[in-house]
Amino acid sequence: MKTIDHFLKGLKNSLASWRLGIVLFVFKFICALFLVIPLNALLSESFEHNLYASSFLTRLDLTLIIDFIQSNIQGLKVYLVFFLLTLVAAVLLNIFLSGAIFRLLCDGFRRGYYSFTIGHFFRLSGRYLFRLSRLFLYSLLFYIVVIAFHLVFAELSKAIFGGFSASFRFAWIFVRLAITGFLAMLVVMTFDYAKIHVVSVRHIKVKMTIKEAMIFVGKNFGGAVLLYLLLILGLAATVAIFWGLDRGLGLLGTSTIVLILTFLLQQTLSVVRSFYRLLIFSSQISFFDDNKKVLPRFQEEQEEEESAEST
Amino acid sequence: MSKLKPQLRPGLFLPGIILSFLAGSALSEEALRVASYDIEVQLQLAEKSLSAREHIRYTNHSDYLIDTLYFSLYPNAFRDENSLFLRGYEKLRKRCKRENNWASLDIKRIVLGSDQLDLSSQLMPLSEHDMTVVKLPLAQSLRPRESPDIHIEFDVKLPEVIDRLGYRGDNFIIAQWFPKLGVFEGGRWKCYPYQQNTEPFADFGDYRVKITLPENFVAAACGYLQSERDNGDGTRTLGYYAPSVHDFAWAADPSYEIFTDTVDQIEIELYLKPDHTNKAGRILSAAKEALSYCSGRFGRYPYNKLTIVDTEIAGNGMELPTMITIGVRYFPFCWNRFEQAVVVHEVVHQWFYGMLASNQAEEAWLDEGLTTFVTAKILEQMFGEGNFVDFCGLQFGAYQMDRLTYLWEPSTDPIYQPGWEFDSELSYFASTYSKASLALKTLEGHLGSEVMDSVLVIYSRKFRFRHPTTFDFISIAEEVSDEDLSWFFAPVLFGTEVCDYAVSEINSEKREENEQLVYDHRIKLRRLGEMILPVEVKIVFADGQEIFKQWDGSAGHHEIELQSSSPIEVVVIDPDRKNHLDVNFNNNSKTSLPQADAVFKLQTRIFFCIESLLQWVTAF
Repeated sequence: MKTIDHFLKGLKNSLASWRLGIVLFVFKFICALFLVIPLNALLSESFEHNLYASSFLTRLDLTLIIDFIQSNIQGLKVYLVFFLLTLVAAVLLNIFLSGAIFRLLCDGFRRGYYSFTIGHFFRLSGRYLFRLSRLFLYSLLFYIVVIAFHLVFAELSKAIFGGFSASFRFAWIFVRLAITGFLAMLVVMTFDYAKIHVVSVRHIKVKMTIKEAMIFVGKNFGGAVLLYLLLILGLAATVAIFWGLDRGLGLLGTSTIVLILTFLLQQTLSVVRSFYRLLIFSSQISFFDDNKKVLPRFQEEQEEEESAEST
Repeated sequence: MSKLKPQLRPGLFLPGIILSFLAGSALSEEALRVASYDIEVQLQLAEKSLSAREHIRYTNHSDYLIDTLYFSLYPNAFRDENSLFLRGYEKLRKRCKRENNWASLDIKRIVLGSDQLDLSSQLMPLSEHDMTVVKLPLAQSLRPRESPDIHIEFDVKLPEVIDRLGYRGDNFIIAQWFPKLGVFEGGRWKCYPYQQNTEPFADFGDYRVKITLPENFVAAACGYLQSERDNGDGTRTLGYYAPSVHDFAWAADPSYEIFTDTVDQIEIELYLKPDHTNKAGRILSAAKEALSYCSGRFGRYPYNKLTIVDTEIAGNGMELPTMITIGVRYFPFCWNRFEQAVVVHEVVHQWFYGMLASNQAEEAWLDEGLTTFVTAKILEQMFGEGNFVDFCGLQFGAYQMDRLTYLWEPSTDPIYQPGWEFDSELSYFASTYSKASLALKTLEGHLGSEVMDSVLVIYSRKFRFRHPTTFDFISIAEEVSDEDLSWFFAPVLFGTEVCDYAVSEINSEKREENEQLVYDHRIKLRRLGEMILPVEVKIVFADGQEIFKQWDGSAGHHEIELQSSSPIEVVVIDPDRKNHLDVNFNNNSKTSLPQADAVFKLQTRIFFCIESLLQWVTAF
């Protein structure tokens, strides 16, 4: 019941923080737009006046796609470099924004309100940038460890289960993937709690936040995992609903209005997923606060800020 | 340009044409035996080697005197790092060296006729570093129809999984393993050193092979099992007979499980490893479908048995007379049909390799191209368009596979070229498999499917149990279609030009004439590649009227001027998609109005995918 309680509190807080959801969505939308514009130019050139392009209305005609790739191979190679660089930029931008988002979500949850002005938002983003960047690098390290574990585990499995039946080995691949997925989830979760530490305590070392977060997850393992699984389940249900609606719209034909509705549906899901990220963070903040008393240093900082705001 | 249209009325005349072509040449069930082999071989498990005795009955069916015999010794391709084959595959060469994994075929004794003189010291390798072909000068030339007996004793050291010969654990695939005579044709021997992209070439004959192996091993081989003897020493000897074939191979594994089925009185025997028995049904049904299809068109399968062997050693699949190998994987989902595709491909090879034994080393397209073309037809008949993969609405089939490979290397090498002259393995694959298959599809588009069927039927029946050449195929195609097809075959088979035609511009001007609106249209077509093929153009007007124009395709560009009372809706090059060699279908049409909905759908899907990707990558 407590897990559901955190989920609901998180939902309430994320809805109250709707501006942050919009920020996340707009950020994602602009990055996607930036990435898609050059590709659209190539697509338009190949398909805009192409009679066979009408097949895209009903299916993905791979013959046309193969021809498109081969006839634009040089342009696509350049685009791929651009795409990867933009992805890296998007990740860096996300690190920049996430400090403010976490902090404002914490404020909203703990104080019941948060101050959203452009200046304040970017000031908070700047304040946590350095520490969150370091946290990001550490998280990469953890992911590398998880991948290495997966590879070693795969080799070990091959050595141990090599003589077993193929059906067993095939099923074991899924078990291995599930274990790796679970470990990756633990990393994501731990670093989410580390971020809560970072925005809650000003003068704490990054390594210390990771250690604290790991201790926190270790001590509240069941609750933390259960909450995360509930959040994943919710996300899966949301995506399934979208998939059903998308299929349903597909049955209505391929008229312009249906295509526009499909696009709007896609963007609705995109908005929902942005809000869902807030929901994940907020639920975790609720769980964090419930299981670890508000840190004294955080209280001091809060008071400092309140007095600064009043003056 | 109307000359390009087939002059035949297929439905009425084709059966008659087929009959007239085949009159007097009853479908042959047996080959002319040029080289027949009796072999006794013993598998030495501990040493991973073979020791064997071979008796060859060779008949000089040519009108020439033969003063030298040429033998192919394939395992010597892996004898040392200097072999032509390993020099062509740098990675494999390094791997063999690193793992000290070598193979060899050593002739211990060779005797001609009743003479007991060992001639092994007189064997000469064809080149200094390569022992895959050796020649034996004869003291007395063989006269036409002379038929000497050749006795050979030889040992083979097996490698651990290289190409098509060797072992992995207890799984053995023994192909291209014995000294085999080349083909004496047109006054010269055609016996090629084994190297990059070459396949063996041999004459037809009868094979009687006795295989001795540990008694716990299950063996699969070409031909029919005729005898089985327990030797009482932990081994048993299996006697096989394969009539009218040009090669013999076998496989052995103690764990094989056997599944059988029959189609048209042909017994199919499938040897699967225990892990792969879940695939038995799919493999057998694909083999049955392919056997029925080919028997019905290209002449009855003349043997009573087809053996299918599961071995990962020989890659995805390998064709052998009356036997095919397939690398089965345990992957239970039915949306992936690669294994069925391989089975169909190798079964089709029973005709375009097994019975029509073309020179695979010099003109591989005749086997691989025709087989790929027919395979695509069978797979489409069996599974529709997504015959390789059909997953969540995404369909990928043999046609897309051919197009993908062809477009990767459209102009590096011509289709007709000796295997060793290809730039790379990919280029060999792209040209002899994919481009050749698409070229045949283009020819089918031009001739019509019934005429094309007749070409294949007549070709396959007329040259059954022979060694047809590219020029045999061309002459059959020209005779059946009653058309000079040099305009097609010259650039397509022998050239490296790229074919690309495009609708470049549509300009229309509206004016009033006798109080009626008249449109003056100027359509510009362009030839972007060097290959010249005739082009059909379809112009569709807004009022539904359609006009067809022809262009010989030779000039760099071509303009069509016309008038109409209605604006143009679309101009399409090759409206019935007959030319599958055009490297870009996307510039083959131009619509006056943009395909806004289709492009919007494509773009929004991509946009949404990118948004989802961003959501993931920023979720650290």
